[in-house]
Amino acid sequence: MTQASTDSGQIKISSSWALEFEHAAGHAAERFLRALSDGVLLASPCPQCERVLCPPRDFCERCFVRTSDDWQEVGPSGVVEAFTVVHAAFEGYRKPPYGVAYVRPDGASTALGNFLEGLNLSDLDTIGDAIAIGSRATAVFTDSPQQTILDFHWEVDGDQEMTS
Amino acid sequence: MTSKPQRLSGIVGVGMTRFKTLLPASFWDLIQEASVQALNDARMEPGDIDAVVFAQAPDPLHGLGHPEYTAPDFLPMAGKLSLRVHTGGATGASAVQMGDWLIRSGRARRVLVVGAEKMGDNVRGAQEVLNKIWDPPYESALPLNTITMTALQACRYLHQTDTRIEELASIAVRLRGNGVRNSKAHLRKPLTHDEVFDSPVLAHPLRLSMVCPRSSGACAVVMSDAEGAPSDDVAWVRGIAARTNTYFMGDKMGDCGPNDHGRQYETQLAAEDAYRQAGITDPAKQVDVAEPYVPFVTQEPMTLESLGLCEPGESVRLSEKGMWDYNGKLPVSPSGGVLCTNPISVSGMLRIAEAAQQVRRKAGDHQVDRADVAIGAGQGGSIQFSVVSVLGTTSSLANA
Repeated sequence: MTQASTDSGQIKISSSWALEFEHAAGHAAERFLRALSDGVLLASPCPQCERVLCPPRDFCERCFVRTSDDWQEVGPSGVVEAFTVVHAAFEGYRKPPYGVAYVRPDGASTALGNFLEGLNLSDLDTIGDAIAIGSRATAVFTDSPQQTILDFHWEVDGDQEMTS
Repeated sequence: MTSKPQRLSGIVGVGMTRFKTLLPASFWDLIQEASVQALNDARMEPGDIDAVVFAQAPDPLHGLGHPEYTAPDFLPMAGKLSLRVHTGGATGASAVQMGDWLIRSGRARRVLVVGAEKMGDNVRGAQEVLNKIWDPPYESALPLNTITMTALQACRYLHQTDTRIEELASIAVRLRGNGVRNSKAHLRKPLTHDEVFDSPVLAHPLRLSMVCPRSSGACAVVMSDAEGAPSDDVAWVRGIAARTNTYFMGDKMGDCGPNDHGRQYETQLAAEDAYRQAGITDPAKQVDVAEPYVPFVTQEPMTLESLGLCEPGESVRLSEKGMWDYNGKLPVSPSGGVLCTNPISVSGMLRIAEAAQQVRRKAGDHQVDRADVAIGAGQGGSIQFSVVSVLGTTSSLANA
């Protein structure tokens, strides 16, 4: 539905895209998302390059070989590979500040991203005391899973020095 | 006098509008303005064009569904070969690469490469569009967009090179200062060192001062085979190459080897290929000026190092010493670069067009002294697509 409007002499045509979709999660993602309900992180091993891929996928895109069906449980703890603290308000997301981290679960070759919780995010000058690349973190699973990636989040392990 | 290379394509005409968030012209007004400028600059008629490559990144960013369908009524496309190219932020550079392929394969003799952006027409939802880069089941529910993607990159680069974010202030000051010199740039106000860090944090460690604007505007280049190119007014495409990387940012962490999210491995591979084509063996010495793809200040060190313009971890120190200054030994982004002007669909083309204008000595208010060999590059996606081009004067070919 388009409309025309005039704003300080210029004619503008309004238009809007409001699209909604229901996507198939796909064979690999379904298996991974269902396992989250059991408090388990799964990864798919590539028989050729031997990388253990998390999140798991049916083909290793480096080798283009089918990954093994023998998926491995990885984590639930791992190493922080990258993180950020979001301060800008992005529409449709939770109120900032909040953390996002990519953590490599123990046993996996790659890192898995999710929200990062449990840190004092009010003072960015001291964030380095609470988390750094190399810190340990653990996946914390929800009590009411919905088979989405948000069924878990990362928390930095308790033995890190925390700011008050 | 070096004779014209029969096997290369050359950029013989450049057109670009000015760039701002909101422009009163319509998308098609802008496309035509840039195209007419480029054709006039090339001293060609629309009928001289054999093929049109249309550079257009995601439709939802400017809100016109499939503009390539409408394009034949606004461009000299009817009866000709035309193709749309889309590689995210690299789109404009990939489009130039297509022009090069068409000419070098002998399929076309004169190609018009053109695109426009009207991000300013978007009233709401731009980062939502960019969030859709990420995979529905695993990542699109996370707050991933170009800001957080870049913050995660910066986290790794700063850690691996033991650099503090404060040391990158000189990069923002330099790039914004270059924008002041360029009458067509979007951002033309200088930044002081203090203003860089007074600016609010968007996603740690990235501040608003380190981030590109959303720009509207258009760019066009006319490319020709050797016969149609005047040897004293051409930027030869001495080399152009592209590489694709994994979509999964987490795969560029952990056991990733050189393919790290805090580096730009695909850029390094594309650059090595482009240099090989161009006969460049020592880029730091043989390249006179560079227009790399840097929408976020934190990406400049990664990209200059991946382009082989300095050793890994050295770019920031060299920036502080003035190496990359407009009057420095190897000027980087004399136009102000993507940090000052980012019309996503054509930013990659603008880099190559700016490099071409330096080589043709038509960069006007931001011409650098030495510009026989120039680099223009484009990047896109979760950084998955990288295109690197090496342009040169006719006389530069004698040293190849």
